[in-house]
Amino acid sequence: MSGIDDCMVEGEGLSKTYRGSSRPALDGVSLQVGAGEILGVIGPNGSGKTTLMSCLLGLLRPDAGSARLGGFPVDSVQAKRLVGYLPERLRFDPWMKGWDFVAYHHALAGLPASERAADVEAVLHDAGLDRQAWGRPIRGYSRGMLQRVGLAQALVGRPRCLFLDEPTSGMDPDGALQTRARIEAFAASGGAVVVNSHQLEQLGKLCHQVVFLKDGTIQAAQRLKGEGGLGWFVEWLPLAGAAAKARAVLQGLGVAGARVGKASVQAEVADEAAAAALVAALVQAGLQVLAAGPIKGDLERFFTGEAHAVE
Amino acid sequence: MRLNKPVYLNTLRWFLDSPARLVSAGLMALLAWGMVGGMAHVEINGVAQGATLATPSSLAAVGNKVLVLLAWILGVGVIRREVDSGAIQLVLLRPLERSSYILSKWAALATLNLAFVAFVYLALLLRGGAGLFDADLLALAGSQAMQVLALCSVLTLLSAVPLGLGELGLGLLAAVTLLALGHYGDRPGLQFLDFVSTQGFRVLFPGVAVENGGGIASIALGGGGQVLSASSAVFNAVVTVAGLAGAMGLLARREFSYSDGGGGA
Repeated sequence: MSGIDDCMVEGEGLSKTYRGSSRPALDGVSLQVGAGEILGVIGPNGSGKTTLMSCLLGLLRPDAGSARLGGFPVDSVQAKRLVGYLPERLRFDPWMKGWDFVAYHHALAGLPASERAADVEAVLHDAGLDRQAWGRPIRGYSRGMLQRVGLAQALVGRPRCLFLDEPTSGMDPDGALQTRARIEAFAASGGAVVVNSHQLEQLGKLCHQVVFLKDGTIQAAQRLKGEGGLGWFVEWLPLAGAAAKARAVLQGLGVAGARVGKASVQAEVADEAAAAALVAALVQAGLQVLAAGPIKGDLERFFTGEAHAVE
Repeated sequence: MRLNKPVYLNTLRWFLDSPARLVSAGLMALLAWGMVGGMAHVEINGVAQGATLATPSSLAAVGNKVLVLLAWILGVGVIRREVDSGAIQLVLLRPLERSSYILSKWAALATLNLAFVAFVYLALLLRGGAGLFDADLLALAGSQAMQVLALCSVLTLLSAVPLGLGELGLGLLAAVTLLALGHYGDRPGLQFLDFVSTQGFRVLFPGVAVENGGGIASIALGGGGQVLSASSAVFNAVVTVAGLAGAMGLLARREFSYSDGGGGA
Protein backbone atom coordinates (compact mmCIF):
# COMPACT_ATOMS: atom_id res chain seq x y z
CA MET A 1 0.00 0.00 0.00
CA SER A 2 1.21 3.45 -0.79
CA GLY A 3 2.79 5.68 1.82
CA ILE A 4 0.61 8.21 3.62
CA ASP A 5 1.27 11.34 5.60
CA ASP A 6 0.77 11.34 9.37
CA CYS A 7 1.02 7.56 9.57
CA MET A 8 -0.17 6.20 12.92
CA VAL A 9 -0.12 2.44 12.33
CA GLU A 10 2.56 0.94 10.15
CA GLY A 11 3.42 -2.66 9.38
CA GLU A 12 6.33 -3.40 7.06
CA GLY A 13 6.89 -6.87 5.59
CA LEU A 14 5.30 -8.69 8.54
CA SER A 15 5.78 -12.44 8.42
CA LYS A 16 4.94 -15.00 11.07
CA THR A 17 4.99 -18.79 11.10
CA TYR A 18 3.78 -20.49 14.26
CA ARG A 19 5.97 -23.15 15.80
CA GLY A 20 5.03 -26.57 14.48
CA SER A 21 3.41 -25.19 11.36
CA SER A 22 4.95 -25.26 7.91
CA ARG A 23 2.53 -22.70 6.49
CA PRO A 24 3.08 -19.01 7.33
CA ALA A 25 0.18 -17.38 9.17
CA LEU A 26 1.40 -14.05 7.81
CA ASP A 27 3.61 -13.61 4.80
CA GLY A 28 5.16 -10.22 4.06
CA VAL A 29 2.19 -8.03 4.94
CA SER A 30 2.68 -4.25 4.74
CA LEU A 31 0.07 -1.64 5.56
CA GLN A 32 -0.31 1.90 6.79
CA VAL A 33 -3.15 3.68 8.55
CA GLY A 34 -3.09 7.45 8.82
CA ALA A 35 -4.56 9.72 11.47
CA GLY A 36 -8.33 9.97 11.03
CA GLU A 37 -8.51 6.78 8.97
CA ILE A 38 -10.37 3.53 9.54
CA LEU A 39 -8.88 0.39 7.99
CA GLY A 40 -10.98 -2.75 7.70
CA VAL A 41 -9.31 -6.15 7.53
CA ILE A 42 -11.44 -8.88 6.03
CA GLY A 43 -10.75 -12.46 5.10
CA PRO A 44 -11.91 -16.00 5.73
CA ASN A 45 -11.25 -17.79 9.02
CA GLY A 46 -7.57 -18.65 9.36
CA SER A 47 -6.52 -16.02 6.85
CA GLY A 48 -4.19 -14.31 9.36
CA LYS A 49 -6.36 -11.39 10.51
CA THR A 50 -5.83 -11.88 14.24
CA THR A 51 -2.16 -12.75 13.75
CA LEU A 52 -1.75 -9.48 11.86
CA MET A 53 -3.44 -7.55 14.66
CA SER A 54 -1.34 -9.34 17.29
CA CYS A 55 1.87 -8.40 15.41
CA LEU A 56 0.74 -4.79 15.05
CA LEU A 57 0.04 -4.73 18.80
CA GLY A 58 3.34 -6.34 19.77
CA LEU A 59 1.71 -9.39 21.37
CA LEU A 60 3.38 -11.58 18.75
CA ARG A 61 6.93 -11.09 17.50
CA PRO A 62 7.04 -11.32 13.71
CA ASP A 63 9.72 -13.58 12.21
CA ALA A 64 10.44 -10.81 9.73
CA GLY A 65 9.36 -7.22 9.29
CA SER A 66 8.49 -4.56 11.83
CA ALA A 67 5.54 -2.66 13.23
CA ARG A 68 5.37 0.92 14.52
CA LEU A 69 2.65 2.89 16.23
CA GLY A 70 2.83 6.66 16.06
CA GLY A 71 6.41 6.23 14.82
CA PHE A 72 7.49 4.22 17.89
CA PRO A 73 8.49 0.53 17.88
CA VAL A 74 5.41 -1.41 18.81
CA ASP A 75 6.88 -2.96 21.97
CA SER A 76 8.00 0.37 23.39
CA VAL A 77 6.23 2.06 26.31
CA GLN A 78 5.66 5.12 24.09
CA ALA A 79 3.75 3.01 21.55
CA LYS A 80 1.72 1.38 24.30
CA ARG A 81 0.54 4.79 25.48
CA LEU A 82 -1.17 5.16 22.09
CA VAL A 83 -3.03 1.84 21.99
CA GLY A 84 -6.58 0.81 22.73
CA TYR A 85 -7.60 -2.79 21.99
CA LEU A 86 -10.90 -4.62 21.96
CA PRO A 87 -10.24 -8.36 21.47
CA GLU A 88 -12.69 -10.74 19.84
CA ARG A 89 -12.51 -13.13 22.77
CA LEU A 90 -13.88 -11.07 25.64
CA ARG A 91 -12.07 -12.80 28.49
CA PHE A 92 -11.84 -10.12 31.11
CA ASP A 93 -11.34 -10.61 34.85
CA PRO A 94 -14.74 -12.12 35.68
CA TRP A 95 -14.57 -11.25 39.36
CA MET A 96 -14.21 -7.53 38.71
CA LYS A 97 -17.11 -5.13 38.44
CA GLY A 98 -17.52 -3.25 35.18
CA TRP A 99 -16.60 0.10 36.70
CA ASP A 100 -13.58 -1.33 38.54
CA PHE A 101 -12.34 -3.08 35.40
CA VAL A 102 -12.37 0.11 33.36
CA ALA A 103 -10.90 2.11 36.27
CA TYR A 104 -8.10 -0.47 36.56
CA HIS A 105 -7.18 0.07 32.91
CA HIS A 106 -7.34 3.84 33.42
CA ALA A 107 -4.78 3.41 36.20
CA LEU A 108 -2.66 1.02 34.11
CA ALA A 109 -2.60 3.63 31.36
CA GLY A 110 -0.89 5.93 33.86
CA LEU A 111 -3.60 8.59 33.76
CA PRO A 112 -4.15 10.84 36.81
CA ALA A 113 -6.28 9.38 39.60
CA SER A 114 -8.01 12.74 39.99
CA GLU A 115 -9.54 12.30 36.52
CA ARG A 116 -10.43 8.64 36.91
CA ALA A 117 -14.06 8.88 38.00
CA ALA A 118 -15.00 11.36 35.27
CA ASP A 119 -13.09 9.48 32.54
CA VAL A 120 -14.51 6.08 33.47
CA GLU A 121 -18.05 7.41 33.64
CA ALA A 122 -17.61 9.10 30.24
CA VAL A 123 -16.34 6.00 28.41
CA LEU A 124 -18.87 3.66 30.03
CA HIS A 125 -21.61 6.06 29.02
CA ASP A 126 -20.16 6.40 25.50
CA ALA A 127 -19.90 2.63 25.12
CA GLY A 128 -23.59 2.36 25.98
CA LEU A 129 -23.26 0.10 29.02
CA ASP A 130 -26.39 0.33 31.16
CA ARG A 131 -25.58 2.28 34.33
CA GLN A 132 -27.09 -0.46 36.51
CA ALA A 133 -24.46 -2.89 35.21
CA TRP A 134 -21.51 -0.70 36.19
CA GLY A 135 -21.45 -2.05 39.74
CA ARG A 136 -22.08 -5.69 38.83
CA PRO A 137 -19.36 -8.37 38.42
CA ILE A 138 -18.38 -8.97 34.82
CA ARG A 139 -19.05 -12.71 35.20
CA GLY A 140 -22.77 -11.95 34.91
CA TYR A 141 -22.52 -9.87 31.72
CA SER A 142 -24.10 -10.88 28.41
CA ARG A 143 -22.03 -10.92 25.20
CA GLY A 144 -23.37 -7.49 24.25
CA MET A 145 -22.50 -6.05 27.68
CA LEU A 146 -19.01 -7.54 27.43
CA GLN A 147 -18.57 -5.84 24.06
CA ARG A 148 -19.55 -2.54 25.61
CA VAL A 149 -17.32 -2.80 28.67
CA GLY A 150 -14.51 -3.99 26.39
CA LEU A 151 -14.96 -0.96 24.16
CA ALA A 152 -14.94 1.30 27.24
CA GLN A 153 -11.68 -0.38 28.32
CA ALA A 154 -10.20 0.21 24.87
CA LEU A 155 -11.12 3.88 24.92
CA VAL A 156 -10.29 4.73 28.54
CA GLY A 157 -6.55 5.15 28.03
CA ARG A 158 -7.09 8.03 25.58
CA PRO A 159 -5.63 6.02 22.68
CA ARG A 160 -4.61 7.38 19.29
CA CYS A 161 -4.62 3.94 17.65
CA LEU A 162 -7.66 1.76 18.17
CA PHE A 163 -7.62 -1.96 17.32
CA LEU A 164 -11.01 -3.63 17.24
CA ASP A 165 -11.60 -7.34 16.62
CA GLU A 166 -15.23 -7.98 15.67
CA PRO A 167 -16.42 -4.95 17.65
CA THR A 168 -20.16 -5.39 17.06
CA SER A 169 -20.64 -9.16 17.04
CA GLY A 170 -23.23 -10.05 19.66
CA MET A 171 -24.63 -6.52 19.80
CA ASP A 172 -28.21 -5.63 18.97
CA PRO A 173 -28.69 -3.34 15.92
CA ASP A 174 -29.03 -0.29 18.13
CA GLY A 175 -25.80 -1.09 19.93
CA ALA A 176 -24.01 -1.74 16.64
CA LEU A 177 -25.11 1.66 15.36
CA GLN A 178 -23.91 3.37 18.56
CA THR A 179 -20.57 1.59 18.35
CA ARG A 180 -20.16 2.58 14.71
CA ALA A 181 -20.89 6.19 15.60
CA ARG A 182 -18.35 6.04 18.44
CA ILE A 183 -15.65 4.63 16.15
CA GLU A 184 -16.37 7.27 13.51
CA ALA A 185 -16.17 9.99 16.15
CA PHE A 186 -12.83 8.59 17.32
CA ALA A 187 -11.45 8.67 13.78
CA ALA A 188 -12.88 12.14 13.19
CA SER A 189 -10.89 13.34 16.21
CA GLY A 190 -7.68 12.23 14.48
CA GLY A 191 -7.37 8.66 15.73
CA ALA A 192 -6.39 5.70 13.56
CA VAL A 193 -8.55 2.57 13.64
CA VAL A 194 -7.93 -1.02 12.52
CA VAL A 195 -11.05 -3.22 12.47
CA ASN A 196 -11.18 -6.99 11.94
CA SER A 197 -14.65 -8.10 10.97
CA HIS A 198 -16.69 -10.53 8.94
CA GLN A 199 -19.59 -8.08 8.77
CA LEU A 200 -19.09 -6.62 5.30
CA GLU A 201 -22.13 -4.36 5.58
CA GLN A 202 -20.69 -2.74 8.71
CA LEU A 203 -17.22 -2.42 7.25
CA GLY A 204 -18.57 -0.95 4.04
CA LYS A 205 -20.24 1.85 5.98
CA LEU A 206 -17.44 2.36 8.47
CA CYS A 207 -14.09 2.05 6.74
CA HIS A 208 -12.04 4.40 4.60
CA GLN A 209 -10.11 1.48 3.19
CA VAL A 210 -10.34 -2.28 3.35
CA VAL A 211 -7.72 -4.96 2.79
CA PHE A 212 -8.58 -8.55 1.96
CA LEU A 213 -6.32 -11.05 3.66
CA LYS A 214 -6.03 -14.66 2.56
CA ASP A 215 -3.36 -17.27 3.30
CA GLY A 216 -1.42 -14.65 5.23
CA THR A 217 -1.06 -12.18 2.38
CA ILE A 218 -2.97 -9.11 1.28
CA GLN A 219 -4.80 -10.28 -1.83
CA ALA A 220 -6.50 -6.97 -2.57
CA ALA A 221 -7.02 -3.50 -1.19
CA GLN A 222 -9.94 -1.18 -1.73
CA ARG A 223 -10.40 2.48 -0.81
CA LEU A 224 -14.02 3.13 0.08
CA LYS A 225 -14.05 6.77 1.22
CA GLY A 226 -12.11 9.94 0.58
CA GLU A 227 -9.87 10.50 -2.41
CA GLY A 228 -10.06 7.46 -4.66
CA GLY A 229 -13.02 6.10 -2.70
CA LEU A 230 -16.05 4.48 -4.26
CA GLY A 231 -18.64 6.75 -2.62
CA TRP A 232 -22.34 6.07 -1.99
CA PHE A 233 -25.26 5.25 -4.24
CA VAL A 234 -28.89 6.38 -4.09
CA GLU A 235 -31.54 4.48 -6.03
CA TRP A 236 -35.15 5.53 -6.79
CA LEU A 237 -38.15 4.41 -8.83
CA PRO A 238 -38.47 5.81 -12.39
CA LEU A 239 -42.12 6.83 -12.04
CA ALA A 240 -43.91 8.63 -14.86
CA GLY A 241 -43.00 12.30 -14.93
CA ALA A 242 -40.26 11.83 -12.37
CA ALA A 243 -37.34 12.39 -14.71
CA ALA A 244 -37.65 16.19 -14.80
CA LYS A 245 -37.99 16.39 -11.00
CA ALA A 246 -35.00 14.14 -10.51
CA ARG A 247 -32.92 16.13 -12.96
CA ALA A 248 -33.72 19.33 -11.06
CA VAL A 249 -32.77 17.74 -7.74
CA LEU A 250 -29.49 16.41 -9.12
CA GLN A 251 -28.59 19.74 -10.66
CA GLY A 252 -29.49 21.53 -7.43
CA LEU A 253 -27.09 19.33 -5.46
CA GLY A 254 -24.38 19.30 -8.11
CA VAL A 255 -24.61 15.56 -8.72
CA ALA A 256 -23.10 14.70 -12.10
CA GLY A 257 -25.80 12.42 -13.41
CA ALA A 258 -27.67 9.16 -12.98
CA ARG A 259 -27.82 5.76 -14.61
CA VAL A 260 -31.29 4.84 -15.81
CA GLY A 261 -32.19 1.18 -15.60
CA LYS A 262 -35.39 -0.72 -16.31
CA ALA A 263 -36.54 -0.85 -12.69
CA SER A 264 -34.63 1.95 -11.04
CA VAL A 265 -32.48 5.04 -11.45
CA GLN A 266 -29.19 5.23 -9.59
CA ALA A 267 -26.90 8.15 -8.81
CA GLU A 268 -23.51 8.10 -7.14
CA VAL A 269 -22.28 10.69 -4.64
CA ALA A 270 -19.07 11.17 -2.67
CA ASP A 271 -20.04 10.16 0.85
CA GLU A 272 -22.74 9.36 3.38
CA ALA A 273 -23.64 12.99 4.04
CA ALA A 274 -24.12 13.70 0.32
CA ALA A 275 -26.24 10.57 0.03
CA ALA A 276 -28.43 11.68 2.92
CA ALA A 277 -28.90 15.09 1.33
CA LEU A 278 -29.85 13.54 -2.00
CA VAL A 279 -32.35 11.15 -0.39
CA ALA A 280 -33.98 14.04 1.48
CA ALA A 281 -34.23 16.15 -1.69
CA LEU A 282 -35.65 13.30 -3.77
CA VAL A 283 -38.29 12.49 -1.16
CA GLN A 284 -39.20 16.16 -0.91
CA ALA A 285 -39.63 16.23 -4.68
CA GLY A 286 -42.11 13.38 -4.42
CA LEU A 287 -39.88 10.60 -5.71
CA GLN A 288 -39.85 7.11 -4.22
CA VAL A 289 -36.38 6.21 -2.96
CA LEU A 290 -35.61 2.49 -3.02
CA ALA A 291 -32.19 2.24 -1.40
CA ALA A 292 -29.04 4.07 -0.44
CA GLY A 293 -25.69 2.82 0.82
CA PRO A 294 -21.94 2.62 0.29
CA ILE A 295 -20.72 1.31 -3.03
CA LYS A 296 -19.10 -1.94 -2.01
CA GLY A 297 -16.93 -2.48 -5.03
CA ASP A 298 -15.03 -5.71 -4.61
CA LEU A 299 -15.81 -6.27 -0.92
CA GLU A 300 -18.20 -9.17 -1.42
CA ARG A 301 -16.46 -10.51 -4.48
CA PHE A 302 -13.28 -10.87 -2.41
CA PHE A 303 -14.97 -13.77 -0.69
CA THR A 304 -16.06 -15.45 -3.90
CA GLY A 305 -12.60 -15.57 -5.41
CA GLU A 306 -13.16 -12.77 -7.89
CA ALA A 307 -10.99 -10.21 -6.20
CA HIS A 308 -8.98 -7.78 -8.24
CA ALA A 309 -5.22 -7.57 -8.00
CA VAL A 310 -3.56 -5.53 -5.24
CA GLU A 311 -3.43 -1.81 -5.92
CA MET B 1 11.82 -2.11 36.65
CA ARG B 2 9.62 -0.93 39.46
CA LEU B 3 6.44 -1.86 41.26
CA ASN B 4 3.29 -1.13 39.30
CA LYS B 5 0.75 0.07 41.85
CA PRO B 6 -2.43 -0.78 39.87
CA VAL B 7 -1.26 -4.37 39.23
CA TYR B 8 -0.18 -4.73 42.86
CA LEU B 9 -3.47 -3.44 44.28
CA ASN B 10 -5.56 -5.39 41.79
CA THR B 11 -3.77 -8.60 42.72
CA LEU B 12 -4.43 -7.96 46.41
CA ARG B 13 -8.10 -7.46 45.58
CA TRP B 14 -8.09 -10.73 43.61
CA PHE B 15 -6.75 -12.61 46.65
CA LEU B 16 -9.45 -11.15 48.85
CA ASP B 17 -12.23 -11.74 46.31
CA SER B 18 -12.22 -15.52 46.63
CA PRO B 19 -14.21 -16.98 49.56
CA ALA B 20 -12.19 -20.22 49.26
CA ARG B 21 -8.89 -18.37 49.70
CA LEU B 22 -10.28 -16.29 52.56
CA VAL B 23 -11.62 -19.36 54.39
CA SER B 24 -8.31 -21.18 53.89
CA ALA B 25 -6.32 -18.21 55.19
CA GLY B 26 -8.72 -17.92 58.14
CA LEU B 27 -8.26 -21.59 59.02
CA MET B 28 -4.49 -21.21 58.80
CA ALA B 29 -4.68 -18.17 61.08
CA LEU B 30 -6.76 -20.15 63.59
CA LEU B 31 -4.25 -22.98 63.40
CA ALA B 32 -1.35 -20.62 64.01
CA TRP B 33 -3.24 -18.91 66.84
CA GLY B 34 -3.87 -22.26 68.50
CA MET B 35 -0.32 -23.50 68.01
CA VAL B 36 1.45 -20.47 69.43
CA GLY B 37 -1.09 -20.36 72.26
CA GLY B 38 -0.44 -24.01 72.91
CA MET B 39 3.27 -23.33 73.04
CA ALA B 40 2.83 -20.52 75.48
CA HIS B 41 0.49 -22.41 77.78
CA VAL B 42 1.30 -26.07 77.67
CA GLU B 43 0.70 -28.10 80.79
CA ILE B 44 2.59 -31.33 81.34
CA ASN B 45 1.28 -33.63 84.07
CA GLY B 46 -0.89 -30.81 85.34
CA VAL B 47 2.02 -28.45 85.74
CA ALA B 48 1.83 -25.25 83.70
CA GLN B 49 4.96 -24.87 81.61
CA GLY B 50 4.35 -21.21 80.85
CA ALA B 51 6.00 -19.95 77.72
CA THR B 52 9.01 -22.14 78.02
CA LEU B 53 7.81 -24.57 75.37
CA ALA B 54 7.72 -21.94 72.66
CA THR B 55 11.24 -21.73 71.36
CA PRO B 56 12.69 -20.38 68.16
CA SER B 57 13.12 -23.94 66.96
CA SER B 58 9.49 -24.80 67.43
CA LEU B 59 8.43 -21.55 65.79
CA ALA B 60 10.76 -22.22 62.87
CA ALA B 61 9.22 -25.67 62.52
CA VAL B 62 5.72 -24.19 62.58
CA GLY B 63 6.76 -21.68 59.95
CA ASN B 64 8.27 -24.34 57.74
CA LYS B 65 4.91 -26.11 57.59
CA VAL B 66 2.22 -23.45 57.97
CA LEU B 67 3.86 -20.68 55.95
CA VAL B 68 4.61 -23.03 53.06
CA LEU B 69 1.04 -24.30 53.05
CA LEU B 70 -0.46 -20.82 53.17
CA ALA B 71 1.80 -19.50 50.44
CA TRP B 72 0.81 -22.35 48.16
CA ILE B 73 -2.88 -21.81 48.88
CA LEU B 74 -2.65 -18.10 48.10
CA GLY B 75 -0.15 -18.30 45.28
CA VAL B 76 -1.82 -20.78 42.95
CA GLY B 77 -2.88 -18.91 39.83
CA VAL B 78 -1.22 -15.60 40.70
CA ILE B 79 -0.08 -15.22 37.08
CA ARG B 80 -1.35 -18.35 35.35
CA ARG B 81 -5.04 -17.55 35.71
CA GLU B 82 -4.54 -14.26 33.83
CA VAL B 83 -2.53 -16.04 31.13
CA ASP B 84 -5.11 -18.81 30.80
CA SER B 85 -8.01 -16.37 30.57
CA GLY B 86 -6.20 -14.05 28.17
CA ALA B 87 -6.73 -11.08 30.52
CA ILE B 88 -2.95 -10.61 30.74
CA GLN B 89 -2.81 -9.45 27.12
CA LEU B 90 -4.84 -6.32 27.81
CA VAL B 91 -2.61 -5.59 30.81
CA LEU B 92 0.62 -6.05 28.85
CA LEU B 93 -0.65 -3.67 26.15
CA ARG B 94 -0.62 -0.92 28.76
CA PRO B 95 2.53 1.15 29.26
CA LEU B 96 4.28 -1.04 31.82
CA GLU B 97 7.31 -3.28 31.57
CA ARG B 98 6.69 -7.01 31.80
CA SER B 99 9.28 -7.19 34.58
CA SER B 100 7.21 -4.67 36.57
CA TYR B 101 4.17 -6.87 36.14
CA ILE B 102 6.07 -9.86 37.62
CA LEU B 103 7.49 -7.77 40.45
CA SER B 104 4.05 -6.43 41.33
CA LYS B 105 2.45 -9.88 41.35
CA TRP B 106 5.21 -11.21 43.59
CA ALA B 107 4.97 -8.21 45.90
CA ALA B 108 1.22 -8.65 46.35
CA LEU B 109 1.64 -12.34 47.17
CA ALA B 110 4.51 -11.54 49.52
CA THR B 111 2.52 -8.81 51.27
CA LEU B 112 -0.23 -11.20 52.34
CA ASN B 113 2.22 -13.86 53.46
CA LEU B 114 4.34 -11.35 55.37
CA ALA B 115 1.16 -10.15 57.05
CA PHE B 116 0.62 -13.74 58.16
CA VAL B 117 4.15 -13.92 59.62
CA ALA B 118 3.42 -10.72 61.52
CA PHE B 119 0.16 -12.24 62.71
CA VAL B 120 1.95 -15.33 64.09
CA TYR B 121 4.29 -13.18 66.21
CA LEU B 122 1.44 -10.91 67.27
CA ALA B 123 -0.48 -14.00 68.32
CA LEU B 124 2.49 -15.17 70.34
CA LEU B 125 2.67 -11.77 72.01
CA LEU B 126 -1.06 -11.64 72.71
CA ARG B 127 -1.14 -15.17 74.08
CA GLY B 128 1.46 -14.60 76.74
CA GLY B 129 4.73 -15.14 74.95
CA ALA B 130 6.12 -11.64 75.51
CA GLY B 131 9.02 -13.04 77.44
CA LEU B 132 10.19 -14.99 74.40
CA PHE B 133 11.03 -11.93 72.35
CA ASP B 134 14.80 -11.84 72.39
CA ALA B 135 17.50 -11.41 69.76
CA ASP B 136 17.18 -15.03 68.62
CA LEU B 137 13.46 -14.72 68.09
CA LEU B 138 13.82 -11.46 66.17
CA ALA B 139 16.49 -13.06 63.99
CA LEU B 140 14.11 -15.93 63.37
CA ALA B 141 11.34 -13.47 62.44
CA GLY B 142 13.64 -11.83 59.90
CA SER B 143 14.65 -15.19 58.53
CA GLN B 144 11.03 -16.25 58.19
CA ALA B 145 10.30 -13.02 56.33
CA MET B 146 13.04 -14.03 53.88
CA GLN B 147 11.50 -17.49 53.74
CA VAL B 148 8.19 -15.95 52.69
CA LEU B 149 9.80 -13.78 50.03
CA ALA B 150 11.56 -16.83 48.59
CA LEU B 151 8.41 -18.95 48.67
CA CYS B 152 6.47 -16.27 46.83
CA SER B 153 9.26 -15.98 44.29
CA VAL B 154 9.22 -19.74 43.62
CA LEU B 155 5.43 -19.67 43.24
CA THR B 156 5.61 -16.68 40.90
CA LEU B 157 8.14 -18.55 38.78
CA LEU B 158 5.99 -21.70 38.67
CA SER B 159 2.96 -19.60 37.79
CA ALA B 160 4.83 -18.09 34.84
CA VAL B 161 5.96 -21.44 33.38
CA PRO B 162 4.17 -21.89 30.04
CA LEU B 163 3.08 -25.49 30.61
CA GLY B 164 -0.43 -26.68 31.20
CA LEU B 165 0.41 -28.42 34.48
CA GLY B 166 -0.29 -25.49 36.79
CA GLU B 167 1.70 -24.61 39.89
CA LEU B 168 0.56 -27.65 41.86
CA GLY B 169 1.31 -30.00 38.99
CA LEU B 170 4.73 -28.49 38.42
CA GLY B 171 5.49 -28.55 42.15
CA LEU B 172 4.44 -32.18 42.38
CA LEU B 173 6.50 -33.12 39.33
CA ALA B 174 9.54 -31.35 40.75
CA ALA B 175 9.08 -32.96 44.17
CA VAL B 176 8.76 -36.46 42.69
CA THR B 177 11.86 -35.86 40.56
CA LEU B 178 13.82 -34.65 43.59
CA LEU B 179 12.65 -37.65 45.64
CA ALA B 180 13.84 -39.97 42.88
CA LEU B 181 17.20 -38.22 42.78
CA GLY B 182 17.47 -38.51 46.54
CA HIS B 183 16.62 -42.22 46.35
CA TYR B 184 19.63 -42.88 44.14
CA GLY B 185 21.82 -40.54 46.15
CA ASP B 186 23.00 -43.22 48.58
CA ARG B 187 24.63 -45.29 45.84
CA PRO B 188 28.36 -45.21 45.36
CA GLY B 189 29.45 -42.42 43.07
CA LEU B 190 26.00 -40.85 43.03
CA GLN B 191 26.17 -39.00 46.33
CA PHE B 192 25.91 -35.71 44.50
CA LEU B 193 22.30 -36.62 43.63
CA ASP B 194 21.47 -36.52 47.32
CA PHE B 195 22.94 -33.02 47.52
CA VAL B 196 20.95 -31.95 44.45
CA SER B 197 17.78 -33.41 45.93
CA THR B 198 18.28 -31.69 49.30
CA GLN B 199 19.04 -28.30 47.78
CA GLY B 200 16.22 -28.72 45.28
CA PHE B 201 13.74 -29.22 48.10
CA ARG B 202 15.17 -26.15 49.85
CA VAL B 203 14.44 -24.17 46.68
CA LEU B 204 11.02 -25.67 46.08
CA PHE B 205 9.89 -25.33 49.67
CA PRO B 206 12.02 -22.57 51.17
CA GLY B 207 12.19 -22.77 54.94
CA VAL B 208 14.33 -21.89 57.93
CA ALA B 209 16.96 -24.52 58.64
CA VAL B 210 16.94 -26.12 62.10
CA GLU B 211 19.86 -28.30 63.09
CA ASN B 212 19.29 -31.44 65.17
CA GLY B 213 15.56 -31.64 64.88
CA GLY B 214 12.92 -29.11 64.12
CA GLY B 215 10.07 -31.08 62.66
CA ILE B 216 6.52 -31.45 63.91
CA ALA B 217 7.68 -33.68 66.76
CA SER B 218 9.98 -30.95 68.04
CA ILE B 219 7.03 -28.58 68.35
CA ALA B 220 5.35 -30.85 70.87
CA LEU B 221 8.63 -31.29 72.66
CA GLY B 222 9.26 -27.61 72.80
CA GLY B 223 11.66 -27.42 69.92
CA GLY B 224 15.23 -28.45 70.36
CA GLY B 225 18.00 -27.77 67.96
CA GLN B 226 19.53 -24.64 66.67
CA VAL B 227 17.87 -22.28 64.24
CA LEU B 228 20.18 -21.35 61.39
CA SER B 229 18.63 -17.95 60.73
CA ALA B 230 21.54 -16.30 58.98
CA SER B 231 22.37 -19.08 56.51
CA SER B 232 18.67 -19.60 55.79
CA ALA B 233 18.20 -15.91 55.11
CA VAL B 234 21.10 -15.82 52.66
CA PHE B 235 19.94 -18.96 50.87
CA ASN B 236 16.37 -17.64 50.64
CA ALA B 237 17.57 -14.27 49.38
CA VAL B 238 19.35 -16.03 46.53
CA VAL B 239 16.23 -18.11 45.80
CA THR B 240 14.12 -14.92 45.78
CA VAL B 241 16.30 -13.17 43.25
CA ALA B 242 16.72 -16.25 41.07
CA GLY B 243 13.00 -17.01 41.08
CA LEU B 244 12.04 -13.49 40.12
CA ALA B 245 14.68 -13.34 37.40
CA GLY B 246 13.42 -16.65 36.03
CA ALA B 247 9.79 -15.51 36.00
CA MET B 248 10.73 -12.24 34.32
CA GLY B 249 12.78 -14.09 31.72
CA LEU B 250 9.90 -16.46 30.94
CA LEU B 251 7.37 -13.64 30.51
CA ALA B 252 9.74 -11.46 28.51
CA ARG B 253 10.12 -14.18 25.87
CA ARG B 254 6.47 -15.13 25.77
CA GLU B 255 4.13 -14.38 22.86
CA PHE B 256 0.38 -14.06 23.04
CA SER B 257 -2.38 -14.32 20.50
CA TYR B 258 -6.14 -14.49 20.84
CA SER B 259 -6.26 -16.68 17.75
CA ASP B 260 -5.10 -19.71 19.70
CA GLY B 261 -7.73 -19.56 22.39
CA GLY B 262 -6.61 -16.79 24.67
CA GLY B 263 -3.51 -18.28 26.20
CA GLY B 264 0.11 -17.95 25.26
CA ALA B 265 1.17 -18.67 21.74
